[in-house]
Amino acid sequence: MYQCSNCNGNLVFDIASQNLQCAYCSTQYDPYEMDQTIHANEMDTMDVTVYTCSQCGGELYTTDTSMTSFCSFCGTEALLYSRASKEQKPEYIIPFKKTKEDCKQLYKKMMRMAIFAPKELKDEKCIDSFRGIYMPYWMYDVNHEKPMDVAGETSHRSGDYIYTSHYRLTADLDVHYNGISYDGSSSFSDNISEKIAPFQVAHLKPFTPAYMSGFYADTADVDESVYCEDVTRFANDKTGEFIRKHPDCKKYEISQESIDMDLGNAIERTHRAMFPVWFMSYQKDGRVTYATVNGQTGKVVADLPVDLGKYLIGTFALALPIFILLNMFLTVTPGVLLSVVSGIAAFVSVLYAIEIGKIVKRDNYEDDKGKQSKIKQDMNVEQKKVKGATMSKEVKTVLIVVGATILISFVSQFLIISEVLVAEIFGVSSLSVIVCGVTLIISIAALVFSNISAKKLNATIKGRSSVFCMIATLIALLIAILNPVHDAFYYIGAMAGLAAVFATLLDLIKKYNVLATRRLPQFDYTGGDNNAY
Amino acid sequence: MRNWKNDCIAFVLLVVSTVLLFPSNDVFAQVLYESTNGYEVVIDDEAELLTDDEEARLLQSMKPITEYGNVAFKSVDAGTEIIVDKFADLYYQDLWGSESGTVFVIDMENRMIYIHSVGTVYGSLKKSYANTITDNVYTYATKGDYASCADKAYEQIYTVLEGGRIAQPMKYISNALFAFLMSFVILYVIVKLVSKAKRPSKSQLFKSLDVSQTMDNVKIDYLSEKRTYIAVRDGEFWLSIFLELLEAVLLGFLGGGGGGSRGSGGGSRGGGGGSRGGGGGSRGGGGHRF
Repeated sequence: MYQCSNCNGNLVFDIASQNLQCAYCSTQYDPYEMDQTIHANEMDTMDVTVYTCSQCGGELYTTDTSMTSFCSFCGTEALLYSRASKEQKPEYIIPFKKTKEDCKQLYKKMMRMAIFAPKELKDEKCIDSFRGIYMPYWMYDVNHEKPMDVAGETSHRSGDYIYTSHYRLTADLDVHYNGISYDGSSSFSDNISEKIAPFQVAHLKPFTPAYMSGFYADTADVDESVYCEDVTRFANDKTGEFIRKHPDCKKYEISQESIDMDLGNAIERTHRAMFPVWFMSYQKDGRVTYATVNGQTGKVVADLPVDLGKYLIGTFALALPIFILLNMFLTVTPGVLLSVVSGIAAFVSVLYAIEIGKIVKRDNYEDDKGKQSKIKQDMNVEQKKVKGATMSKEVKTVLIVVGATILISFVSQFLIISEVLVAEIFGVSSLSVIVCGVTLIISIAALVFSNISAKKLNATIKGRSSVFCMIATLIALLIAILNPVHDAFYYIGAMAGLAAVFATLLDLIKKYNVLATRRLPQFDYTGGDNNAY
Repeated sequence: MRNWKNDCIAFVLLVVSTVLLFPSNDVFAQVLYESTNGYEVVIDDEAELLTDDEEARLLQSMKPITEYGNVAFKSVDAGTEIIVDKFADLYYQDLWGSESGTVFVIDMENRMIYIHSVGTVYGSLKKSYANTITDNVYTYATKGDYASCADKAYEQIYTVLEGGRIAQPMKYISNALFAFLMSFVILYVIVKLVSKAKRPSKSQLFKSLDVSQTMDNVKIDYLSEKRTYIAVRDGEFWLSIFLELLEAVLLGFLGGGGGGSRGSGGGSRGGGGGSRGGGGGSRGGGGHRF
């Protein structure tokens, strides 16, 4: 804790002046001068107060001793345990440039677009709970200062032949990338930190604890090796781009593989750094919503759940002009109506399956490398197994592509064969039967995918609502095959389809809300229901 | 999609049979009324669905339509193999070519009613209206009341030609369902788009870094050359592939469309009266099973 030499008042970092300022007499101090006197004897560590949430186990620390009243990670106003500790000093810091007032205004501006967001997220009290937190980041310096030796080729056509000439390109390469950053906290989700980026490393300053006065900091618990592969890929891609655009090389085709082989992994150094983030959390129904603002650039990234009531009002309001517009130019026969409703039911089933897949990915932290590594670290899983998992992901992608190709060819064959068969067997207009048949297949596939995905969570999240759409497409197919004369049958089928689509869409919105919020963090606890939402 | 080979064979047979069946208008299609502007009314009840009284009543319903074009009633007996939309088109052409007018067909073989219009009448009585009117009156045909079915159809045709409004429950029910579903899905897509925060591009990330890039002493050594045979495909080859694909798509689309809309049509045949005119060759219609 820093004290004013004039009045012994508490000194906090003032964003506007970028100095320490006394809360009582407004006297200002240079942050580096203060630390030279107070922390002169400490080199690599600093004294901090660590606050641990009794609810989720999340940890924040500060150089102040003032008590915090809520947890930023789970949003609970729970009892926070504090303890004195020593933390390793980062090498660099980007001090806050955006004030809390700036942050609130930027958030409010973004929320004006979010017309279906729950009113609680626009509530002044909620917005006021934004808290300035320095997030730990790993900064990597990559050095490609070496002789380059890559393969290149040119090709031209002459008649029915293509002539390809092969070359060897050598040069003295001197390329440096300093400050490639990845967040080093498992509690700060990668899908937020990736979006809130970039932080301008030009404004990096050597770290001094004085910058943290009045703010909190998250603890670094992700190993620096986790992002090495991403850093290498990024740097190699950029160097590849540079080589290919070079005036002497641009006429040659140089593959990225050749460049990767030549450059290899060239991470020279890794630094610890602190980047500024305004952070707000809101807890409801066992899920937590995060809103973050980049404390340097002001970029806002927020989870935006939907208020179902507002959404339905919006649906009715938009349906009216669409209805008027459709009446101006569209008249469809009941048979076509049934086919289209069946098509929409299949489309919604697919949307639903995609949403379930995303929820599984999010809640299993598949999109959060930092969190995954922390979990594996905690479970003492060997690094080799992580590599194995990456390999199986690639195999999975190949399998999906092969599966999709087989499915497409199957559907094409189905269409060709059914064109003849349906007309012969049922003696009815084959188009609606084929449309309803294809939509039924799609609905069944989507339903199966939803259920398989939902099972991966072993949780209360179910993926069964699209069964309504599947039933609706089945009814539509039966009506199309029976081909009744009376319109009433088609309308009943279409109404059943509408009800099914509506039920699935309602659940889709609920699922969207699950996706727009997060599991309550359980940083320390292994007990309890981790999948509860 | 339909079996186009069968369709083509049926079409050729139809053309042949039509030529054989309708050598002259005088035999089956007797003109019952000719208006001052030269447009005619024909009632050709081959399937004998109407009594004399009903025909007389129907004639009264058909007469007002002659303000806009020719008007015909045609019933086809069960056992006659026809494709109703093509039949209606050919039947009308045989009577009046491309002059403005309309024909209402009751097809007892396929149990279908169909309205086909040409020229000025088609300008007001498009496929959507033909579908709506047949949808409004098909229940009479289902009950066997063919006279009322045709009578109501001509009544509604005249209302449409006069610029009036007819009941369109089919249209409103369908569009209400569509509107609601579309609204729900559109809003969902909007919500997804608005809520999706963009990841910074690689170039944005690159600009945020401290970067230096230099490359000197570039040396390029020639190693070898490889020759690969790949035959040249000229423009004609790709054009033929494209046309084949286009044809397949169009055939699929038209085959699935149903309803018998036709965009073709020749020039005016220049019929009897001086004031009678064609409608620019546009023709089409819509129908309903009963």
